[in-house]
Amino acid sequence: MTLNDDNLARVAKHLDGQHATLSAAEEALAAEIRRDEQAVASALDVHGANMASALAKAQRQMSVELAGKRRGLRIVLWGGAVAAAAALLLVVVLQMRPGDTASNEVASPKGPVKVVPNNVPEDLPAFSVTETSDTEADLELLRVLGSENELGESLDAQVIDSVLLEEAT
Amino acid sequence: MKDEIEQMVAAAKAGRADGFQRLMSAYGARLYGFFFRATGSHHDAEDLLGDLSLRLVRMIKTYDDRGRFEPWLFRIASNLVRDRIRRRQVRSIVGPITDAEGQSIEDELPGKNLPVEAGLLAAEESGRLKTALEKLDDGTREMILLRHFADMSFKEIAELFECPIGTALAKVHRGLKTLRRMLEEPQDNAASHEGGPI
Repeated sequence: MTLNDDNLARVAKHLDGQHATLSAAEEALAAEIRRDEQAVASALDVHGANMASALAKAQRQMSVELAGKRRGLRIVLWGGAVAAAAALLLVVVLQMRPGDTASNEVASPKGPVKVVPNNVPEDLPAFSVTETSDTEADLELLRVLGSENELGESLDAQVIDSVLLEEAT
Repeated sequence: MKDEIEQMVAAAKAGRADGFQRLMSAYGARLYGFFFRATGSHHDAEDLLGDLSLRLVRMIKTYDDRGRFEPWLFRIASNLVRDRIRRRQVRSIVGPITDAEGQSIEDELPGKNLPVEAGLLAAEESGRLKTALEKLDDGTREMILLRHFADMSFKEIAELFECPIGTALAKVHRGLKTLRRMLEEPQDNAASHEGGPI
């Protein structure tokens, strides 16, 4: 009896250990394959000194490969650590630059900040601080300019008064 | 045994050398046998076992623990054998490489040292088996060897060879019959088959 693909598939599943109900012909084929496999099994097995030396060589190659892999991993880890340390050092150095105390206030992401004391008249030009500066020195300058302005205003008043007086006379 | 293999694989996946060594101890002999019977050469078998050990280290993380380890391992072995056979076929098409005096350089390469290999084969009385295996087509030979050395099911073989399970069974059946017939033939008849390349 000729077996078709379905028969062969059932025999294969049966030999794989799956549950499959076989016909007599399928059963016979399964038994034949089992016998043939057993008959050639001992002939296929390999023994000898060649195998032992091949296994030893493969173990050595594997150890070398593993050592190389570990070395590569160590290099990557060290490289990462060095890069992180360098970045940290750079940040620290930038933070510690002299005259940088007011920089947090003036270099905000919103852009330049106008530093104008409260008592300065409105017509006094405001100073835009865009770079690092000493706040105390700036304020002192503004105070001086402010007092100069007051002096100017009093002089202007005196001039106007004298002109008015002349006109009146 | 299954738990033991899982432990070995877990150790190897963690990059531990003992995991790889134990895997090689457990499967090395079967892998060597598979390579030797597939190529017919001790030198090639040794070479391929070395290649496989390197691939094992590089690819162990790709192994999915849900499947069986043997089919995964022998699938790599099977690919290595196919590559080797393909290269050998290309070499035989191109023809022997000769030196300035017309002497074949390939004869001096390891694995082509036929007198030594013939002696070794004779020593283990597997000359007839080698010849019988040479008679099979590459696919059938590989299927039979995977059944024997990798303990692969017909389902796993069918998946590996991308063919219906019934086809895998039919090929193994025919191949086994051929092998058995040739192994049981009287020595004189078997000798007349010798000499063909794998």
